[in-house]
Amino acid sequence: MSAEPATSARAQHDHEDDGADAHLQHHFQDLNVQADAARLGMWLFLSTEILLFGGLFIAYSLYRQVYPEGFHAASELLSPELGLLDTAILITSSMTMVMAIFMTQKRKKNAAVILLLITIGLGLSFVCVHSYEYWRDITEGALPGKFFHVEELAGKHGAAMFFTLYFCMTGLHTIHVLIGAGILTVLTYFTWKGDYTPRYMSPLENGGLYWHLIDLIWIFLYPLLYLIA
Amino acid sequence: MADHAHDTHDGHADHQDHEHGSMRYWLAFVALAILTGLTYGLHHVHLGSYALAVAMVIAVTKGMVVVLFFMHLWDHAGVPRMILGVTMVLLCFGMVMVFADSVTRFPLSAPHF
Repeated sequence: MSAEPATSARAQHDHEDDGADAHLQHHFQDLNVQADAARLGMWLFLSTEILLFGGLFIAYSLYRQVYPEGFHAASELLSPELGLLDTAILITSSMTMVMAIFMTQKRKKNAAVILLLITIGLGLSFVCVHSYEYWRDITEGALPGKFFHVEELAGKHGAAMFFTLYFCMTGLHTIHVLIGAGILTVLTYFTWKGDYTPRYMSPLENGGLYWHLIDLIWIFLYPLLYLIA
Repeated sequence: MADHAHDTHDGHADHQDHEHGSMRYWLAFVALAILTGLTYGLHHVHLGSYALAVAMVIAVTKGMVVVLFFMHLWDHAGVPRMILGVTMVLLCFGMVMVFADSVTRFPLSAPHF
């Protein structure tokens, strides 16, 4: 019973001019219901994203079963160390992203902005590292489909298919990183403006979910593409 | 969903991080770092035909850490968990059906990869 006044006082304090109610759409009962609906919609969208990449994972599995030797040989052209660096960057960016949300919940706006900027920086670092990897692959002739011309892998059936899948999967993933960085840039601006508070932060939470999905997909891409050999 | 709705109408029960602090995120981050190191380290160990299975077990474990803690499915029971579960079932179904088709075809009708 003694907790009730404290809870009421906290709720009253939270409702004091934080501007959150201005974000409540008329068709929702309150901000919590609105946040639940937004989260549900985001998870449905993430489901379609998982199935999109899932199709590529299925294609990869099928062709790897058909051409095990070709996939092993082609994978040796990739650098596991650069892949490890990619993984470290994305995992760290997931940590900074979730901490940005945590800091917003703690009303530490400046810390949240800095963490979001670090997350964007890490995302762009990932793109830079991956661009370097693409440059290495292209100069070695490790191109998709009929453009594949690596002499040491001549006659290795499936090597060209490996790089077709490699470019499709990592290319689609890198596009997602760039889109995610763009979304986070917008979210950083609104966080800096003070639009997000513990009562209203659905865009930030859902942007975070998108960023974590990018990390999640890379967790599977790394061993399947870089660590076959 | 109903359980969650009940939680969220009690002030800030929706924002569980207020209650849990950031320690869970740091622990998840350390777990991910260790598992990533393990993935890379096992790449140098000859595991033969078990290599793919071991790599996938580690990847699934890392994925669970990300989904449960960074994406907050540990807190958000109900529909979000169901959506992810159904998505995984559909993905597994797709994979099983594609492989079932591939390995059971009459040789002359098999595609020339």
